[in-house]
Amino acid sequence: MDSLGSLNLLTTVVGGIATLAIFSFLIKENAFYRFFEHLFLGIAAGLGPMLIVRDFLWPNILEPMLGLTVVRYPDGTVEQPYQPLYLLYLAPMLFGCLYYFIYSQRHAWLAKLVIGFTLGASGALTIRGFFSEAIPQITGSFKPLLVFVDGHLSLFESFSNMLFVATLLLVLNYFFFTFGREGSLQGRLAPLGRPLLMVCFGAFFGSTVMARLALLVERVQFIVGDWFAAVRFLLGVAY
Amino acid sequence: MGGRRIIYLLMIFAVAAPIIVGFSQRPSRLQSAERMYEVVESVRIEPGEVALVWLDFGPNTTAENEPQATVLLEHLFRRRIPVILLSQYQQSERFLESIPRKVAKRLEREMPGQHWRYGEAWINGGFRPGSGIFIQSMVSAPDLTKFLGRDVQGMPLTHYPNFASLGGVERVKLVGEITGLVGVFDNIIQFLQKDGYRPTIVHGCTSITIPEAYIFLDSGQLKGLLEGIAGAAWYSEVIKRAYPESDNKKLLVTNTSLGLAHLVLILLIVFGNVAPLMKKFRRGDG
Amino acid sequence: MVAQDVNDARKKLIRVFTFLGGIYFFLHFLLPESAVSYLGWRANHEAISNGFIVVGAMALGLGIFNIVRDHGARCVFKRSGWFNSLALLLGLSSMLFVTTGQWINGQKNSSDVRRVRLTGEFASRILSDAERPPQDRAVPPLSARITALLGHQRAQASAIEGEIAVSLGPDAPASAPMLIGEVKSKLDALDQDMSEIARVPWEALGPQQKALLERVAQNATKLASAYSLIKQANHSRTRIHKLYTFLYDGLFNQLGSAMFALLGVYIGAAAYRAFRVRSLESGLMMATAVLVMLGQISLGESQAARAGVSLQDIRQWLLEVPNSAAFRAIRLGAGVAGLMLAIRMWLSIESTSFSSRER
Repeated sequence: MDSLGSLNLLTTVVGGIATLAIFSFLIKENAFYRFFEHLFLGIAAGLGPMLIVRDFLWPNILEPMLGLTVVRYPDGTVEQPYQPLYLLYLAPMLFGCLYYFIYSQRHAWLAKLVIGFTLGASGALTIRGFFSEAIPQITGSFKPLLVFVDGHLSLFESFSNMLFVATLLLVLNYFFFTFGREGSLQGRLAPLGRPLLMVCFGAFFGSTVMARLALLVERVQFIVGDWFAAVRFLLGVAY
Repeated sequence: MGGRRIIYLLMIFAVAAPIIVGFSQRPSRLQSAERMYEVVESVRIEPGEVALVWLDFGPNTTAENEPQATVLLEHLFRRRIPVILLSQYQQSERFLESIPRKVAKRLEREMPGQHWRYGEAWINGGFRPGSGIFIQSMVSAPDLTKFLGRDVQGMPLTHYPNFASLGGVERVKLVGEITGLVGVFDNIIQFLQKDGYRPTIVHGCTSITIPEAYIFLDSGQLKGLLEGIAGAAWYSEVIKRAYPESDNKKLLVTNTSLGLAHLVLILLIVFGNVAPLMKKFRRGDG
Repeated sequence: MVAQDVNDARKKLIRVFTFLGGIYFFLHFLLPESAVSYLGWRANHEAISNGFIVVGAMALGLGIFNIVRDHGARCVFKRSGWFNSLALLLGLSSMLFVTTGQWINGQKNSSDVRRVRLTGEFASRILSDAERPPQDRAVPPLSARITALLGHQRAQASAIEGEIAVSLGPDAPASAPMLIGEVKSKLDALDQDMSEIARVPWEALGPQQKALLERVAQNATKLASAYSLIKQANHSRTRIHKLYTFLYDGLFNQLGSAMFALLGVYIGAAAYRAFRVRSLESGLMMATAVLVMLGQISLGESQAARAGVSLQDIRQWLLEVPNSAAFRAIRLGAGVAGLMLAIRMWLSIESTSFSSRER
């Protein structure tokens, strides 16, 4: 068996042991489960930082700033001269370093500058994103209440569209609390939104079930298929 | 306490039985998956045009998203549409590398003599932080090759002929987003557009987000949808109709196992509601 | 009194920075294209956006610092659960080590390939400078540049040959001989071009010289492409890559999937013990859920079809009509609320979280 084959075997066997360790929680919380749980958290935490450096900070910021993207030909000439404007990236870098003042009791307010800045940026993007997303949703809600197919009124399609519009308005009304509801038409219509919401939540629940079961199916497939085969192979080799 | 564990065992057995026996059934027909197939099938590309596929999932949704990514990439590869793979989510990093390689290997085994090579059929642009900021910046960029710069291995995109002169985002003819994260999907819908350009977006979602994805399908913001594993299974069946040598047996077994687990769950709900009533009824008799 | 003034000044500064954080993207969205171009934002939008991302990216050390501080303390002082903390730190350090190693390897590989590609780029540059001499910079004589080109290619050829020798090791992939064959044929083609270049006079650029340089540019690009495939194949056999594969595929992926797979088991228990229909509304919800579940599985499809019922169509209709309408309403409502919150945050009207009480 070559080294890649051995790696696959080891990965599968260890992966199965890790899975069974997590599944042991179904019997009772135990040290075996806790150990692998912490191992998972450590690996997950270690995955991100280098990716940010590798895929963004180094190629987009640090390399151009340090002049390492300047192509130097064998005769000493360069493709393009160094662009000193890249040094301007030092400003946001230093500004971002203010995050670390959160550990200082006296100077923690400096971290709030950068947190506030980030929140302001995300707020502005939310404003933009809302209109990009919501306008087509609103225009898409104006459905024809009478639908004609080949010149004839389609009762089913018309009913569906009417139900769509009615559901949309009633559910919007259900969550509208800006004005007082007692005795008003809005207040009387509000309870009609509940059963329609229940239909929505029922569909949501039915879909959620598939999501949860899919996760279980994948793990069981791995244990019963790949892991058992790997263990059998290993025991066969051992014997 | 023992009753709870019996239910656990019942669930695990219901899931394991079709897998052990290798029993598979034809998946349920899902119109959204068929629509997505037609959308991908109707994409026409010129040299310098590409598809952009975002893989934004981690181990928590691999079970549903990985088969979706596999079938979508298989279809794009079969149609010889060059693909740029990107991610907004750190945990997807390995999938950006492993899934296209697996698909390419499978296709090369199925069609000896034909090749799907990295740099020709696809490139891995890696993880790109910044979410909405990155996407709206990408949309404004006059040249995607220059904007994306390098692939995950550090090679400039100019190194790869199919991706060397991409131009603006208008050259992206299809956008695929495979994710279970609502915020990540929202970034695509909200920011991957500009005046005069609305991309054709297809989406592979986890089952939890199916109800939410339908509102975008209705408004036309999404053109196709893969609904969890069931969507991926039906999509693979549609691919198999066009390409009979395509192998989707494992996915069908998974889907069948899922179906059996659903039935067991429905029975548990029914028994859970009927059993107290029967107890009450017997107590009333006694 | 002075402390109060300092506090007020700080709050004002935080509000100013919060506003500044949002003003660029807000105006970029609001202003017409002509105004954005006029202000110079269009040309620099990418750089400005990168600046915003850099600010967030600098926080990458926060999480690691917290983890190391808390769990490190637990290990050092042998507090309860220290062994688990050690496992966590072990996972963290191995993943950091491995991803760093992968990155360094990747950098080395890409710089090796780029050096090979440089042969072609240099040839193109020599040609373009000879055809249209640049006014803004000095250019060495043609013959000197050709000498540099030949020397560079000789160095790359020996590096490539060294790499090929390693590629045929005992655990070489099945595709290795074919890839190596491709690299060798392109290297031979380029070597032939270089031999011809060495024979031809280079006092001036004639048609023969021009054709040679164009051929070198093309062949060097093809060689670089083939060479990068060898590099990728070799990279997957390095120890670092194997360790990364083990950590990710063997541990991270498996553990993460297993943790979420527990939910599938719990939902079974919850289905029996907790999902009770106690009212008309909960009955409506449960009925919809059961119809949606039955519609997404194929088991029972034929029986339902015999009864004249298409569960898939019922499911489709439920999702397209009542569900979509209700979800859209929820989402629009939540979107408007989110929009208001975003505006209030940007304008620091929601400033109570920042003006928290002093410690």
